[in-house]
Amino acid sequence: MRTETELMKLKKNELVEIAESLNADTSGTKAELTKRILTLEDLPDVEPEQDHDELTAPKIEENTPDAKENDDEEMQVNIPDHSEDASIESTEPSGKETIFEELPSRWLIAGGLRPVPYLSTMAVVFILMFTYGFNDFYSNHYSYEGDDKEYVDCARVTYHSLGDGNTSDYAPTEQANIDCAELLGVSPNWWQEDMDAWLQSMLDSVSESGNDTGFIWTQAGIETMAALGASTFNANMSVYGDPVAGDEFTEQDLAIWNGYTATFGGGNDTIEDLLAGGGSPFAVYMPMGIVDYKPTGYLWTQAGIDTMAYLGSSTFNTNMSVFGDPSEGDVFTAQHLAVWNGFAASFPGGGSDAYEDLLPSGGSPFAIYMPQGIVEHAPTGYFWSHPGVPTMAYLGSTTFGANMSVFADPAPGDVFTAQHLAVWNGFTLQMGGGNDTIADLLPGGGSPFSAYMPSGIVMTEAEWANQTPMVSNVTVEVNETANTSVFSCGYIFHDAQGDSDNSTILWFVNNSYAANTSTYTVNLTNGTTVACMVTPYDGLYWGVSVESESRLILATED
Amino acid sequence: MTEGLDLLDDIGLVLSVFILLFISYFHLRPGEDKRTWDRRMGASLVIWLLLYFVLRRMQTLVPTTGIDYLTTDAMIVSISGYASSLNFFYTHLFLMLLVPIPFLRKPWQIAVLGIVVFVAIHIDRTAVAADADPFYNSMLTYVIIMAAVLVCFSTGMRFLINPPAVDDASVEALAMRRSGFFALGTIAVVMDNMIFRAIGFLAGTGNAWWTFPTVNYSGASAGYDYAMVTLAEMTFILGVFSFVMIAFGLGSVYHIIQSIRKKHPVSLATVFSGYILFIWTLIIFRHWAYVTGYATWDMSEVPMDANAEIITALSDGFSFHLIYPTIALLHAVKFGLITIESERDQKILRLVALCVMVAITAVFTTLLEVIIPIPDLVLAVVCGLVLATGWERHLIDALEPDEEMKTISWAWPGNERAMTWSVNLMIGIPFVVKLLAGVVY
Repeated sequence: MRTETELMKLKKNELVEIAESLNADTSGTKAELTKRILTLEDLPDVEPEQDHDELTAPKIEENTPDAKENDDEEMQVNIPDHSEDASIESTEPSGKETIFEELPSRWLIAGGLRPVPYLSTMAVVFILMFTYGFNDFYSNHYSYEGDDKEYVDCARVTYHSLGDGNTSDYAPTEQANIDCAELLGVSPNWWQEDMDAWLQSMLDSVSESGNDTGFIWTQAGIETMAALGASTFNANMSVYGDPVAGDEFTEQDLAIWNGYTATFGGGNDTIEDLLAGGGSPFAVYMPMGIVDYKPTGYLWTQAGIDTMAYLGSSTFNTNMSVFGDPSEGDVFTAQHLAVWNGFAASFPGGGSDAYEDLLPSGGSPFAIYMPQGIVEHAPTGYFWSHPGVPTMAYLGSTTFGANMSVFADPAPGDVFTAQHLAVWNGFTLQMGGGNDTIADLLPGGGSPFSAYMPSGIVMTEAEWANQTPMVSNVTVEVNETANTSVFSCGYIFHDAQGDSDNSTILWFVNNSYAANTSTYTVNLTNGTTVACMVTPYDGLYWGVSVESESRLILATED
Repeated sequence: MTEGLDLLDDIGLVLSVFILLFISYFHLRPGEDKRTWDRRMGASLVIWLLLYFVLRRMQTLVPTTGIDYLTTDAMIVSISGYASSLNFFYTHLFLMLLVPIPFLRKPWQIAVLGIVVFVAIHIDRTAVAADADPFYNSMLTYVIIMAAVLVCFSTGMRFLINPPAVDDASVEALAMRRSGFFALGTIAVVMDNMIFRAIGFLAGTGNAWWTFPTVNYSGASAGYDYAMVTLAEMTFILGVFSFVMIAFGLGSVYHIIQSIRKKHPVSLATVFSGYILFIWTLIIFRHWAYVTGYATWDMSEVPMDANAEIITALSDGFSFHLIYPTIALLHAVKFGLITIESERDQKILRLVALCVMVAITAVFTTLLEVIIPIPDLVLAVVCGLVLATGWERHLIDALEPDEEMKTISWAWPGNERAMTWSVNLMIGIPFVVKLLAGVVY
């Protein structure tokens, strides 16, 4: 009679042959085949003596190198010395494995042969560490005189809920907040008071900048002041150092003005009071004002004002009055920049923006929140021209060793700023240039480098407008005869140079974008509105987009 | 500087993918599978762990493989979040509690653990939802996993300081050796970068107590009671990390001394001890850098300066990109989770060992280049010398499992097939959901 061990030593194909001879199923693993054969041959599963010999065989013998090199399907028994333990049984489903049927206790696995002292020690040490950590943090953050719970709960109410203006629960006058503030020893309105103090300190720090006031004399201001001096104050402009338009209006100038006006009921004006429409008691005598904001080369845009107002209300807890309630086209002053940086400094990476960082796609860390920017370049009367951009790029790469990033990568039509001119003059200084005005960069201008830029670099605003095409009489037209409504956009194209019409058309259905085709074909339901927008383009210059009146689709048009 | 460090992400991803493919091939290849349930289960769990690493890295490096939170429906985002958490916690818990000698021994125990983890995830996520009231920092799931770490730790620590005699072949000794070795390997595989808070826990510094996820804002947002809940949870989590690392540090020193005195065998435990002492060097250095201001991190442990970037690369980066995948390979081969038998298998293993050596040198040279600007040519020569002198043989030798590790196991007290399928489905379904949500949305 064959034993299980003998059968397991056979190759699988031999077992298959035996199974076939017994008309048994030949599928399955060697172990399954062996069991099947044993069952059919009516043999005992395990021969007791044989099994006992294997169980007690020394381990070293089964782990000899020879054993390793045996066919992996051959049976190798690897049984420990102590497997005679009654609680442990083993089976050998494959050639090398020893599988104990009964799992050792969890205490043995986690704690070894003497789990109680080992695990107890570990537990005590951990509990001590936990207690230390908990108490350390608690004593530093939650331990107060009196009832800790009452104090912490009140701190939440006053500092993080009813008393905190940054939360939607803000209600500083509620009794719960007042009671808690009393317990904490703070004002129930602490948030507003802190915010006011912070704003004031920031504005104060911005204002106290010595003679860099951010204001300049205007020509009208100089003439007004000269007239007032002659008629009222008995002084001429020499007391102000005979300023010319554009000169800084200094704190000293303000002190002189207030000195004169003190005897007439004035004497407390700020420089802002001397702007046109300012709050000076003498405003009626100087309707054009005395000063204006010092140009920075940047102006507020309407989108910028709207964006800043939104950021102020949603993030900085303030309104546009901190910027003096600017209007579109107002100078974005150094003070405005300082206020902005003061707000932004509260956020990571903020507080160090330059003007150009606030242009569309600028480098401000807040750029994602102001996709249209806050400012635009103040007009200088000149734009980058179509031939000017590639010409400058060529000169940069061949002569100056610079790319267009030094000009902030301008596009045709962008304002050619004073800063651009300064960069240009900086490059050309070493080559005999360096003194060009913007007009010198026009085609045929006076730049010493005009020979290298026959088409110039810039174009005047007037010429740009002349070159720019226009459209008028934009209307939606519909083909009434077709089964399907075909809409077309009618308009008149104007171009001073007679260039061809390459205008683009956008279609809007119910004020939502629908298509950008020259005609629009669709069956619209009754009550729908259709409109088109034409952006004139002559192949070089884009004009101002014009939108048609919305056309209401009525039943008769279906 | 960051460009060099960013390379670590790529190297780590390639290494993880390579080791994943290697283990998966040997685990899933057709033919007669003679491995016992614990080896099959162990291999599956290591594969799930590597898949988790790879997907996480992929979703960082290639945002299109991750979910777009801004445009995707909140329900999908929520399902993906649950799936991600379930995948992570099930993989780690089963790796610590199921193999090789299970602490979970009945199907209902696995089911209960699964349900408890799901409920804990739900509580954690609900507590920090945008409209949560009370809004507090709940870390129940981390508490559960740290409790499992304590179990795994006690097994490993017991083996580290009091290993059974080498010639003791009693069933108890066999059980203690196999579970002890495996526990040490598992601990090394599942270590988190929160081990670097071990000193901060005792010192009460912000790098432990005010760095996410262990930040107690619950007092401000929900009041005293919830602050105490959060404090208890975060103390437990930080305490376990600190306790485990300190105990392993002391245990490692003890083990090495005993090994020198020939009272402990030189074994995988010795390698583990060396690794722990190396990690302790990094822990001390990183803590010193934090408290002295030599390097600065924000509350999310994002480096705020160049020094912090280098130290993060040396500690977190080194662990995530090189150590964990390599130990996963060691875990799979050393404990016989996959079977390397034929000449062809050996050749594949040699190829993998070579790749690991390449990755090791790549990581080292990348880090070295960041710290000391050494010319690429010198690094290339060093790498060439390392790889040309057969060092991969040492790695292969280190991977060679002891005979005992290959031949001894304990039967699962029940239906093995049902258990392995259940566990794989518990981990696999959330993984697939997370993957699909990331790709589709």
